[in-house]
Amino acid sequence: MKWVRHGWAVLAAVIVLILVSSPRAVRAAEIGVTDKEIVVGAGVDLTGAVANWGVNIKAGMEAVFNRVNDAGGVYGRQIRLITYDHVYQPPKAVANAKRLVERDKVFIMMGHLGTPTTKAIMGYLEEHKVPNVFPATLASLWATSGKWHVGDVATYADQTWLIIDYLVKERKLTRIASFYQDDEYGLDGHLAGKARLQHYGLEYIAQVDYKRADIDFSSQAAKLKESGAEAVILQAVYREPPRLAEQCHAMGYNPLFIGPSPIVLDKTIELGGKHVEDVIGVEVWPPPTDPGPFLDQYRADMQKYAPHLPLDMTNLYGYQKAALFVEALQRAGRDLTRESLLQAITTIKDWDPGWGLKYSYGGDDRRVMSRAARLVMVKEGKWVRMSDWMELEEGGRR
Amino acid sequence: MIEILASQVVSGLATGCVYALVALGFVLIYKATDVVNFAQGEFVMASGFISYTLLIRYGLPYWLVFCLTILLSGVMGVVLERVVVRPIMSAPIFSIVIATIGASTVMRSAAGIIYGYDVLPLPTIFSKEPIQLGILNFTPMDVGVIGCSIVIMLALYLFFKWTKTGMAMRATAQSQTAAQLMGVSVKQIFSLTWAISAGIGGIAGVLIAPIIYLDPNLGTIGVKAFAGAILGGFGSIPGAIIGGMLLGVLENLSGYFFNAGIKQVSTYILLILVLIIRPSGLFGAVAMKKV
Amino acid sequence: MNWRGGPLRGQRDWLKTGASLQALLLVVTGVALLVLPNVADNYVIYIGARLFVYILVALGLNLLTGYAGQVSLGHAAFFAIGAYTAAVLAESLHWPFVICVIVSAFFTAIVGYLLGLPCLRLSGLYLAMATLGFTLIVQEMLLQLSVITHGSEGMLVPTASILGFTFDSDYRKYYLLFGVTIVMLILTRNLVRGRTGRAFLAIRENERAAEAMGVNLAQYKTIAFAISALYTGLAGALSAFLVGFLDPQEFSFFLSIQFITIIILGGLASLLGSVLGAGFLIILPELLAGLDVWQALVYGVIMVLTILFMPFGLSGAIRRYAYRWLGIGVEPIIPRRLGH
Repeated sequence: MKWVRHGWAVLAAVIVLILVSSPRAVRAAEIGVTDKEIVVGAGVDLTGAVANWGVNIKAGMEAVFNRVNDAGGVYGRQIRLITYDHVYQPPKAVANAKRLVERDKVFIMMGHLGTPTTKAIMGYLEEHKVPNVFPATLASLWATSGKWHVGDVATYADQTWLIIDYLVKERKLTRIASFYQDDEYGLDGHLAGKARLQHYGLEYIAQVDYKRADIDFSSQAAKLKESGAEAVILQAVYREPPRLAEQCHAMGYNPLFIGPSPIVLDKTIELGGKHVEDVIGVEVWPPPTDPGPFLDQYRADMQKYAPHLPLDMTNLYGYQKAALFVEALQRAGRDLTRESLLQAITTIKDWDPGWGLKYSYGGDDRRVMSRAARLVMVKEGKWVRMSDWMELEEGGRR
Repeated sequence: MIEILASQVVSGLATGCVYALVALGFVLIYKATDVVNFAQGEFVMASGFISYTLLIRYGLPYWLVFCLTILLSGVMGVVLERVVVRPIMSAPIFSIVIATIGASTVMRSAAGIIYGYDVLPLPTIFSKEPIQLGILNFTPMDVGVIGCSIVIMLALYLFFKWTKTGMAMRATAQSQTAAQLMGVSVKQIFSLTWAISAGIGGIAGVLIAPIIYLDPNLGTIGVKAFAGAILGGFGSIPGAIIGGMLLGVLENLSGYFFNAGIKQVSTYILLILVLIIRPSGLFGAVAMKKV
Repeated sequence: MNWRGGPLRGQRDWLKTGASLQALLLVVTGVALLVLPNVADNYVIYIGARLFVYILVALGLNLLTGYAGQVSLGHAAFFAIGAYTAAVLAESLHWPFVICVIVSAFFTAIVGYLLGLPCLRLSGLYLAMATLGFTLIVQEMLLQLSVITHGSEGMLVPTASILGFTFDSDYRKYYLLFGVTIVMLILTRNLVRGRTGRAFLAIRENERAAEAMGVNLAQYKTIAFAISALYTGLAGALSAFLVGFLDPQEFSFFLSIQFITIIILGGLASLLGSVLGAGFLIILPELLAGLDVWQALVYGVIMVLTILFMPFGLSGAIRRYAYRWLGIGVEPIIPRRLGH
């Protein structure tokens, strides 16, 4: 058949081409920086299940960049942020990374969202010597990755250590349960907590998981009640604790609910009403409504550049990330290269953007962050401070 | 222990009723037009947002919001039918299904752009205070949801059985040609079917949003509801209802005995088992096709 | 070969007189794709490679759903099984690349066959739902079996290599996938024009009639599942090595819906349709990527408009206009839905 003959010819040509080809040379020239601008890339989720994070982080970062650009930029260079949507899928994230690095020629990748998506592109970024700074993921990736990655967040693992220390040492509780999202988001804190409990010779009395989009927790509540747990650690966001608390109370079960930073939002109280009274959370930075120079600036910038978004932790997270980045840019000086930026990051020590928290670069864990955290509790419909700023121990899963 | 199981069953029934309502929407459209409307879940989501806008942004009273939402949902259904389905009514079914999938994508992204992806709470007139009655432990919210669902299903039953329009719809579902010969305007019936389906979706949205909070991705509940409808037998309305309720209860029970992952797939495991034994669902009629 | 009646009429004539047009289009596209990597950057090459993966899936799904008429929403599961099997074999057992891919493709085929068995009595919506359930169950299993699949953490896939020649650049992966796709296209064409293809079409049109004509339903249906799963498993395995990272979240029912969208938008039961549909799904989002939040909305609108104007898919539209404007082939006679 004619068709088959042609087909084999094409196949033969293809094989010859492969044999004759050689891999493209990888250039590490200085890219993304001109006299006029710095190009920054970020792959985030703009639609899909975690779209709320992506949209807000992007808005927070853009608020900072817009303000800096309006004031003349960093050493006269305007910062331009390019983002692409990857809907939490690694193959799309890889495509976006290639587009950002090879087509848009970004200087660095910043604020890349999602753990599997970031893991998927790490090898590629390293190969092209593109720094991946301050990705918006939890996993302690940077501890084991090369010099091209720098993190910036206190993980839920660290915070869970703090929680367990508080429960065991101060509240003298031993029957502790864990309620966690059954993916890498919830597992991070959950497993770290397990390890920390072992340190005290204890175990979780109940381990109850849920799927991210779950709407009903009556079975989880029933299991928790049956276990008789005195405290339940919530590895969740603001959506789940109100409903869980409501369903536990409906069964006449009133444990102490406590969890890392994502639950510390006014939204939680809005959704949960009186059921979230006495819930304890961990704050790693002041709430968006506190006074102070940095937060004043945050509110002003958000009002000016993203007035349609409510002030909350998700865009504050992006905002402070970008503020940290701008600080690093300024320290790198006029002669801006990838190396000089990474070098500049390592010089950050005890830097306070204006809200009483000191950011420092920590050696082999390769994170720039403030290690402060404090406990807060819901009292009469408001989050109230329970302790002063404490130092977080770095107790990652790995 | 029995107390806990009983409470699981009750809250399962409440969730199941919501699945059943959404499933009803699917079945109605399918019976009349052979089309599987993938945008049904998005009708629920959209009506949730409509009621939110009317209630919170315009501050209208609850009962008015309820009625307006159902009305607007119905309109939305007709618009979708005219714009997306009617033009390709004679095309292969698959193509119409893709059109509804595209429509659901558009609705979802539009909601995301207008309202953002943050979760919005919706107030409700049913309180969530628990009541203890013997071994049963439930909230007025559960009762409210189950009650409303039963009322709607009864209303639909009466509508189909006793009113002229209802009979016209049943006739169209059986045979479009014959119905047309009897003087039924098939095109109007189609629009009406979509309007009612979307309206039911609207009620489901208003009932469910206070429980699970609004966000543009709410539409994914449609898949579960669809599974419930299939479980019960897709061609039959009582089948869809029973299937949905069964699903809700099963989910809760398997969540209690196992973990979250098993809870999620228990539905589908049961579904596959049922389908192996009864290929048309529990109450579905076996499809006959002429050679 | 004089039989000019029945629903296969359009198919027959198309094969005879329109074959040249379809072949021409495919060859032209093929040549363009062949030289593409030499003028484009890695990003485009990578997208092209992903296109080939999706073409393979579309070919497989089209065989089952387009030709044999068995609706399947389970192909994300086959894709996942192919991907993870190959990755696990490469990572744990250190088997060579080619063996991993071939073994995982055949393993997926066996799974497909096994899935086909209980699905023999199902059709239409029920079949769609059962296969959808299969997708969700497999996705959950990937998470639960985290000992070998690394669960929600995700899994890195080792680099592919054949006899010491490593596929470490997008350039090489592209040509490898291109070659495989060409081979599979040819095989599909032969399959479809042969006895098996005709049996599939007969089953699609009317099962009872086909049975009466001597087509063994059980055998051909399960074969359809198996072959379809083989294609998809192969695509999955190659995709694993292309992307380099696997995460259970990707293999959701949403992916299954995307696969079905590809073959319907492209055109059911059409090789060209498989290529065009895959192109639509992979290339269009990249073209829209600059639109940020509006991307999904515009994409949805384009999808709806496309299906409204081309209800028989892109290949159906090409056939129609080829006939009307150029007189090639025959107006495609695909059974229209009459009132029931």
